[in-house]
Amino acid sequence: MNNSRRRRVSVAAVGLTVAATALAACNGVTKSEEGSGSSELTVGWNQPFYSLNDQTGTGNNVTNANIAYLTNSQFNYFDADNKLQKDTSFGTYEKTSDSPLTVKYTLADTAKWSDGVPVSAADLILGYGANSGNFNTVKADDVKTDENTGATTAPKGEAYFNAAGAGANGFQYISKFPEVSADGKSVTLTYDKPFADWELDFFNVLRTPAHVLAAEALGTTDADAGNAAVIKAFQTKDKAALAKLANFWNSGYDFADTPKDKQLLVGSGPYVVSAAKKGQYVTVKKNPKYEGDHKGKVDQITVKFFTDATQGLAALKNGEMSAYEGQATVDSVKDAQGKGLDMIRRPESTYEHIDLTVNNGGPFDPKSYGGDEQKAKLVRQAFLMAYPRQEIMDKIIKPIVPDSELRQSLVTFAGAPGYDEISKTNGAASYGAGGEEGIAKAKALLKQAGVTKAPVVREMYDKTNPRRAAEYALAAAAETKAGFKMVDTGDGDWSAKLGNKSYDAIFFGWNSTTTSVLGSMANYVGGAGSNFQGYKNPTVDKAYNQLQFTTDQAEQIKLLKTIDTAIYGDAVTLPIFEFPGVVFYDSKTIGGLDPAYLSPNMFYGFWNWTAK
Amino acid sequence: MITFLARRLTTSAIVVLISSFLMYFLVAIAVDPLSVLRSSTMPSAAKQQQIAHLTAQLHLDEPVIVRYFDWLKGAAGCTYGMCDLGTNWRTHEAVTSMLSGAVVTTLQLVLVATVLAVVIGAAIGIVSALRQYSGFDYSITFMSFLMYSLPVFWVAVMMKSFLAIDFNDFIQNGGQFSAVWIIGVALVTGLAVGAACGGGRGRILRIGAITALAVGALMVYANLTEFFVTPSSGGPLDLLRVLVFSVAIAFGITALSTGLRNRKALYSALTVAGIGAALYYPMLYFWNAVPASWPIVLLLGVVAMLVGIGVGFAWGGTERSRSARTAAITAFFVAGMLFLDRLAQTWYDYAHSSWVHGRPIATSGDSTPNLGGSYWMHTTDLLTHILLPSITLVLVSMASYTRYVRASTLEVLNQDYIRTARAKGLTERTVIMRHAFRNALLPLASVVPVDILFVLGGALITETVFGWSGMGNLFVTALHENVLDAAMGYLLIVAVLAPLANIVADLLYAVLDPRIRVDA
Repeated sequence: MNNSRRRRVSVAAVGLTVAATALAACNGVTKSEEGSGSSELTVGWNQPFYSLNDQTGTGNNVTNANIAYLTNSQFNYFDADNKLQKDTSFGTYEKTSDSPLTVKYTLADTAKWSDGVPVSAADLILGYGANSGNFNTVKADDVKTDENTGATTAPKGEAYFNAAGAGANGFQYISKFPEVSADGKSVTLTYDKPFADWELDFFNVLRTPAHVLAAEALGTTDADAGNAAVIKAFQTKDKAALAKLANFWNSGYDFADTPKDKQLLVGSGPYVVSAAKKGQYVTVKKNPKYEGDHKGKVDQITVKFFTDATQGLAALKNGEMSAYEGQATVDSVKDAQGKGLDMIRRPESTYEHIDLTVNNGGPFDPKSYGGDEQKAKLVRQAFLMAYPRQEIMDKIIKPIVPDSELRQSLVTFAGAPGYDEISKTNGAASYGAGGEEGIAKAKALLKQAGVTKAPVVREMYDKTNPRRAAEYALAAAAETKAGFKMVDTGDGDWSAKLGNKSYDAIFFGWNSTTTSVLGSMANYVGGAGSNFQGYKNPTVDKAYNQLQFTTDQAEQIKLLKTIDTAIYGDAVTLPIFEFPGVVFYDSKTIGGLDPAYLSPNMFYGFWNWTAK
Repeated sequence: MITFLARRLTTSAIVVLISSFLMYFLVAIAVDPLSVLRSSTMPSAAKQQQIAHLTAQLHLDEPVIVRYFDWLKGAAGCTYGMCDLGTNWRTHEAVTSMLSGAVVTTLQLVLVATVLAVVIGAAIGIVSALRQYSGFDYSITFMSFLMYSLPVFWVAVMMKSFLAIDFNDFIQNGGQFSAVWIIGVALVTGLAVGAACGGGRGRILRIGAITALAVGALMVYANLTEFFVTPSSGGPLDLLRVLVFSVAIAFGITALSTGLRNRKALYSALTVAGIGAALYYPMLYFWNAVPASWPIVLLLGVVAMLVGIGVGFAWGGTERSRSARTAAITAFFVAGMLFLDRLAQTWYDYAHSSWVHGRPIATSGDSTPNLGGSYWMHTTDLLTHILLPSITLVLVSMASYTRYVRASTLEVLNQDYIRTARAKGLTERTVIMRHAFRNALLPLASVVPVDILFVLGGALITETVFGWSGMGNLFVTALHENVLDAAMGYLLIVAVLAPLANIVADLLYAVLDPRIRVDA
């Protein structure tokens, strides 16, 4: 390049710059970006979402239930005070006869799926059919996984609905096919025998639209035809059709990323899922077709997932979300206090309890004393009396939830019908709350029993859980003072060892999801699935059996009282505390939070949430 | 070469087989899919039914060995494209599809972190070696051992607290440095740069003072222009800033690449800087007209380098290839400046959008949910999310690179050929950049591939703490939720990568260092 050319190039470059600068006229070449303009809330939960059908054995998880709760309506729900409320904008139900128990469900005109199709009898039939277990043509152990597809398919052509609630609800006692009204708006269920918790049978059940399932599984794209096809499949027990429906129902709704098939997102609630990203978040936005009473106040709610509370609290503090419910520990509460976050602290529906094994030849088994029932009972009473319940409460629970109280019933909880009445007379009070007084009583009881050598108690618990390790330390100290010789058999693998007789005492949690009167049945009936302590009392068994088929509430409470009193009298188990629950939130950005005792905890009353 | 490869691959395959068996066995013992069912309060009939169902589904009634070979049969399919690593029994998702999503997320993180750690670590290592036994060297040694021994999770939590929460507060309060901050930061950087440049006390003080003044001035400038709120608005002042930085880059690159005495190279680099500044406004119009995307941006980066080469050849001179090289590297960085400036123009809109609420640096997740807007918004979003985890990974992995490079530079500098080079009168720049630099970096070739594996391990914690759903998160979740197949998916990938990384390291070394042969 010679000099003159170089100069020309430079001049051109400078000229271009000047021209462009002049053109730009100071600022504003780049277009600015627009926001979304809608009101939005972001809240956090402690476990990632993975299925929109929380009714299946695999999808049955609180995190999925929360999203399904936001996106579906139902006949009834629990409020923050554990009272069962009815949503008449979705439908109504009434008991039309006691013998045989007959219940008529009628859907409101305002009950619509988010694709505009009205909720109809077919959806109720599907809910009943899938959750009853009555339409499964195979037994559970015949079901094999196809190694190539991995789907949990039943043997070819057989139908198996893998329903979490099968065998627990009252649907199993309905063998007569429900009566569907001509207008397709109501269904009448006739129970073979009265069922105590009949009112909860459709609770949390209506998650999957029948017409969508028909389209996905049977290929019937027309909504009315699809609804009819679903009813027909169940009515005629059409094995081929039921097998297809069951397959899709079991796993078709499992997704963690926004599915390509938008039909899966159809719901009947105030919100519909609009986007999801695996392990990160689910976003629901207002369902424009929703006409019910629970219309939300915000346009969009995003639920983010933080498995670790420290993480969640940092994100909350950083304004990435407005509320978070995660593991409530002393550390997370302190962390939140340090960060200046707001908290709603209250007990939740899982409770810790101490169980004594009575059939393993250990210190609590009458066999050890030559079949002396009375002596074994005195030893059990001594152990339970000395159990430092108040100390555990004060040292471990109150720092998290200051106004926690000892739970005084094994079969029901504060707020559920009859709790006050039952807890006053069931004998729970006679156990005291441990401490010096309890230890003194325990010593006296052991003396009375004539036990001279300190009974050896092997206590099992989840050793990997720091809170439980701390509980054990407190309990072991008190029991040793009372005259027991404690052996630490804590084990991370405790749940696999439940009921294997290798321990004499164990503490762990029981969870209630409803105010069902039968919730505790499996724990205390002789030989039942969750009765790991070998407990058997004919009075209790008989009362539960009666309770199962009692629909009158006063009668139910009377039976529960009998059961509770009998179990307390036998000194085999005691509740220790209710799990502390904490909703961390930022009052500057969210309003209307009113967390419930029962699941969906923080999400209860989401329609009252406001974004500030 | 071929026998070497064949031998290594065979032994690797055996290693993978044995380790996968051991891991399958151990994980199978550790996880218990039935635990949740066992401790649930559902009625006994329903519970028995579900336990039976799950047992049948997962073949829990069969011995672990049988289940392992079942799994191996599917996994062996990966060698001929019929991969079946099983299914997550809870979510019914195929493990292969779980992995494909997670691998991408993790790679993003690990690649960014590794590249940054190697570049910064190597640079610090070399400088530290050149100033051996100086205060700077001792400080770097101290710092790198400190970083080396820091637990990742602790660093991560500190990052969140200071770089996210406090920094966002800082931005929300208008992004103004206080006088204390300005003086403090200016003094510390001045001291560090002065010490790094070395020389006598007078020289250190002089350079330190100049740097401190420059840094102080920059911070005052940031205050005045509210840099952290609106880093760029596309006005003439921003153009001027791009020009100044481009010229500085041109000088810097030339100084390292050919030395400032090579005037043709310097002019080439300066020309490129000028062209970059001249294209400032045309490019803004260009981005208004053309929706940006990664392919376009990368293509433009390549075009910029080609233009650089052209400019270098046009200036010519005795060694036109050197001018071309200098200009091309300068062009790359100048194009990067333009890119960053355009990105900075989106910063205000991003930070104040309805999705971000004025607090741009995120403590968790790999993206803002439902973020709308253009490529620029999404790229800003990626940066604000990847910032903390990558800094964390860089901090803890950079230290080892610094040590490696420092040691190897010292070794190289003591070699005879370096003495010869100095003796024949080459400038210090030529001796170090041309003769010492490349050889000093050689050991990295064998360290980096293996080290990526360790970063992958570190990413496990980083991902968990920062809520990225990558490989590490997948593994941890799988163990928590008793999903054997998903845990094995992660372990299989690591088991395959480990021997593979070693082979790559060996081959790379052989290619770079002609003294090494891999026949054997």
